[in-house]
Amino acid sequence: MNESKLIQKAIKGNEKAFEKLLEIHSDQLYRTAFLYVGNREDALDVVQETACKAFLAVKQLREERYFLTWLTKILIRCAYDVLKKRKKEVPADENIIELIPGKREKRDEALDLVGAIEQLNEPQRNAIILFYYQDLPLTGIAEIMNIPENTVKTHLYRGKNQLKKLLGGDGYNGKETIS
Amino acid sequence: MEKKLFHDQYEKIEVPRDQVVQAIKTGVRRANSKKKLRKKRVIFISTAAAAGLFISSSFMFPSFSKVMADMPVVGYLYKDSVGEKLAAQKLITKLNETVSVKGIDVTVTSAYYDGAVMGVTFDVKGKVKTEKDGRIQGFYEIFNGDKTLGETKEVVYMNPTETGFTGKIQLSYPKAELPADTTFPLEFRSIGDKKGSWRFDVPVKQLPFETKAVNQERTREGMKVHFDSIITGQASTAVNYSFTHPKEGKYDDIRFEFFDDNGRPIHWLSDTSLEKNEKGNQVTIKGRTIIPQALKGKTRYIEVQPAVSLSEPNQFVSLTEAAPVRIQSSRQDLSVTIEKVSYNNKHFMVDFQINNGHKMGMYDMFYKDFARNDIILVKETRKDIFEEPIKHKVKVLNEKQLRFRSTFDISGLSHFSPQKYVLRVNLGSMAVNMPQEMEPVKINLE
Repeated sequence: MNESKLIQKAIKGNEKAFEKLLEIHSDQLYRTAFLYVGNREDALDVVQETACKAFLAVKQLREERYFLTWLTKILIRCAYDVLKKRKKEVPADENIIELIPGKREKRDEALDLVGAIEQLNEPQRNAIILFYYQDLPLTGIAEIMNIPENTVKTHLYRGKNQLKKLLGGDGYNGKETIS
Repeated sequence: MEKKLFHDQYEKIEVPRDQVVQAIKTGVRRANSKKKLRKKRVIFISTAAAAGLFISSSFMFPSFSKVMADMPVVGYLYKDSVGEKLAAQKLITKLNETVSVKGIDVTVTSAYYDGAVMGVTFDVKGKVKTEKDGRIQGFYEIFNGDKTLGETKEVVYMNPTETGFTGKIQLSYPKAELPADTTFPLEFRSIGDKKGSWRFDVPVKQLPFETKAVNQERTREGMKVHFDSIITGQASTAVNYSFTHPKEGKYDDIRFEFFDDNGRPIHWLSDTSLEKNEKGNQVTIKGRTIIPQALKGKTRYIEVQPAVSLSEPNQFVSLTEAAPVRIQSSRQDLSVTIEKVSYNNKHFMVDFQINNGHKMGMYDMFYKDFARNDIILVKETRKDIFEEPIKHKVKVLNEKQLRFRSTFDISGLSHFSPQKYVLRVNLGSMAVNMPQEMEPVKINLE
């Protein structure tokens, strides 16, 4: 069964089709969640929450080709919910430790970037994740974030610069910094 | 370059696949327990053009293989508790019939027929392409796809075993009369990546059961639900009912919640529409709800809480009309007030308030979605056609008062004029989620 059929079934409330669809995109869902929350446990929570919220609302999805966009939107919302919750729970200085440069060396390159992305503000982070990781076109990001394309560009630009600073490559051009 | 690098790192994030799949399932199961008492329904749309397309499916309550995702036990997904209970009592008929197509053997291994529920188990052998998780997917049809019945086609997943794969199908018998001894046609159309026709006539014999007449009814706004009878099987209970509504309310829908004598909710498995009869202006639908347990002895009575959702036609607001314009349901307390309309050659802006600011128990997100999806600028000539809406943004003006502003991007429209466009307000999507409760009914089981 192709994806479009599955989406049609899912919209009608078919659980199996819905689960199947999410399974098809499970890597992307998990990785995106991971980028936001930075650890496995929370990322799994985000995926679970997304599955729950999305299934409750799937009937409201009108255009099947927007399925993934719609799902991503929900995922991001859920990721921020987890982050918000965490902010309340985690004492502030733990975040500060994360920023000490020496500690970072041992971390995986990907995790390093995840850590840096976590420091970005919300629109920048969204723009970076959606553009660089999810490979979405600017129009798609604008749609998800509910902002004009040019604003997306601005967030991308600023977010990138911020990342460069965070990753210790301040003053260099992009290539040298992140590669 | 940078993009590739980001992407590579993205790929590096290790995915604990099993756990992710489990998270998805748990999420869906949670969603289900939140809406467990809501019926699985077809998409509700009420535009006239699209209505033609959907008339036949308005009674298509998916009745088959409704999974038991409501089970409060983790990992208990997709299990057939009726079948298991019957198996424990040795009430399942063993079968052994094999059909081979394209090197794939499908063997029907057992079947049961309890009250109004049927189940079939089957094994698959042969070279089949599996899904990522090791299961295989099959697609089947029952009753030769009889269009007068509800949904007759469904996907089924089969789990790997030592020798091949095994799967099961559960269905609610889709006809009003329950034959004591029958066969039902079952055809697999695809197994894994192979298409073909694996056909069976599955013999089933109804296990001993009891039927009790109920004869209680409730009415509300010209609608009537009559509880006809209750069938108690060995491991399942079926509630037969008739739902009568005026013809113009053909998208009206009835739902039930069930509770035991301690007020605890009873999960139901499926709800099927069996027959539809028209008499004058009245339409009566015979339906059946299956509860996957024998309730007799466990509770003295079941309390049923019926609720009807009253469908609403689309309503349109002419842009030349002076605001404010109030769109009001004639059947229930739902409304949208168009407060202000303005436009230039790039944007069309509309301010509106929903339900006079009364949330009526619904959450904010619900109204935001409604504001986004159901108050739409459409071309007058195409107002009944369901198509992608003009790109628009929704701004919350006042969350407490449910006031919103939608800004439509009309720069891409070649000939925008207020005479050619209208606002379409779909109160129906609100109505469908806000059913009107009737007085509860107690059905005595003793």
